[in-house]
Amino acid sequence: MIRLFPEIQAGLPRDEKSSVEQWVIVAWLMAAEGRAYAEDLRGGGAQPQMQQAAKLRLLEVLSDVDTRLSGRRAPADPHCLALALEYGLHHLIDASGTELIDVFGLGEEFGGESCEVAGVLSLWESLVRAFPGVLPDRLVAQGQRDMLRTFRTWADLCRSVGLDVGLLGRYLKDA
Amino acid sequence: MMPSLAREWLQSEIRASDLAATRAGNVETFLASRGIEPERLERDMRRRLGRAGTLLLTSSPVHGLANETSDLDFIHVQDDAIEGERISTKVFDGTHHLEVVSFSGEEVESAFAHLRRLAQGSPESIVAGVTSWDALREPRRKQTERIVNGVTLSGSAPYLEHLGTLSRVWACASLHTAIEQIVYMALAEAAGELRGRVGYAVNGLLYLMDAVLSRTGDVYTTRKWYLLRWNRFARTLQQNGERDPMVEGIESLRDGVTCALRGSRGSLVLEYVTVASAVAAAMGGIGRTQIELTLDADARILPFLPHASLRLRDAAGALVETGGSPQPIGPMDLSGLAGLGHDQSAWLRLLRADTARLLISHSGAGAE
Repeated sequence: MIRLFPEIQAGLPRDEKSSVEQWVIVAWLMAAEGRAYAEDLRGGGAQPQMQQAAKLRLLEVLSDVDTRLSGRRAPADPHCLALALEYGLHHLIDASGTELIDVFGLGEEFGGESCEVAGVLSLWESLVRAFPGVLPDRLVAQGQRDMLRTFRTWADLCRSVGLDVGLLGRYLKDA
Repeated sequence: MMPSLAREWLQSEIRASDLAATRAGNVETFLASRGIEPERLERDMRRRLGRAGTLLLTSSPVHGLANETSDLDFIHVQDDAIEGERISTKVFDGTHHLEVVSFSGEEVESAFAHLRRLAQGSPESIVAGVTSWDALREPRRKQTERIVNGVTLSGSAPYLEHLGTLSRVWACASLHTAIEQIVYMALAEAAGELRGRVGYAVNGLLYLMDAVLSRTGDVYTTRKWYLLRWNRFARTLQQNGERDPMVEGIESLRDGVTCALRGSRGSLVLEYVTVASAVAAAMGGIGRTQIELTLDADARILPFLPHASLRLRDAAGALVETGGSPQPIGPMDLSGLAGLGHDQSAWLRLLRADTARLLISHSGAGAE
């Protein structure tokens, strides 16, 4: 059983500015990028090669999120997958590289005619359920209103510690 | 070294008229599968965006790749100027999820002019131009690719004439990224990171696939589609009874990924370097590729304990170094990666901590 959000459970103190900045970015990455790749896994049953690539992209997103939750700068994108496979994740979930290979079903033939998605989707759904608060779903109509409301809340949150919610700008453009 | 068949694929003119018909067919099939009538969709979109300008359906439906959860991504090229940042607007049409982003015709023409300038330059200037693109201009590079490949709801592809230039620039950029990943893979292997090296190998392989696909005119920026597009390409060749050592080389790397992840493979470096060199040779205009690793001149090195120091950069990049800085690497040919020793693996930590630079150059190269 993989432990979810050990960073929250540990309750370690953090600098308030970096705490706000990292949680807002993490929530956006989960709601936008993570959810989009999970959607690809659900909808791509007839496209196993796309599903395999989407699994790797999801692992890269989770690796990025994991580093941010640690309070560090996220590594550059080219390193995220290698770092996750070699050193595991420790802040979003507590899993070694070999556990990640199992959960993500990476032992299958790369580029082959099947793709195992049950393990990774189960992990993703557990992460969404265990996330501190309800992540807006921008892939459905109702989610647009929720997203706007969330942005207003985040603008106030950022202002309260001397940050500008515009820090999300580049992530919004990437989505 | 490379067979004529690969050279034909990679260096032949892209037939825009054939592609336009194929893509119009892809869009028609996709819309029919969703029960969407193109004229009705055009009317609805025009009500939101105005009658003027060109409305393009882009991304997976155009490439014949859309599935049941794919969005309908539109780009609207309008006559009037636009101010400020461009962020996609989401629209829900019944159960269909649509996104649209607008650019002015002037911006789009400026992007095409930039693309043409890049295509005429050296591989280094292409990579520099692609790398800095998103910080300097709208539409961003991904959106420029979408515009070139975009299809109107009446089935025309008004910007497909730019595909040849796009193909050359995108292929070069993808090959560069593949080589970067292969260098990281070699360093990870030298560091004893047996799973980490596979993370780099997989991405290096995906970008090699994309470099070849892009150079044949199948240009599509989104990484999640690279493997499926490659599979489609390789299977088509197989069905046609066509064989090519470069394609077989990439297929052989693909076959080896799973074994490597289980740790049951020796060094991966030589086979990746061989295939990357073959792709570079077949693409033409790349020249002799060399790599060099240099320490970041802005980093400060401060003593910490005997035999250990801290390498600091921008108040954020802190790294504990033991035993001093590693010996410089290069300039050297890609084949030199096979000879990296454990002492040089420290470069990987320096690169990850953003306190060193990887330079990739192509001597004797020029525009085709």
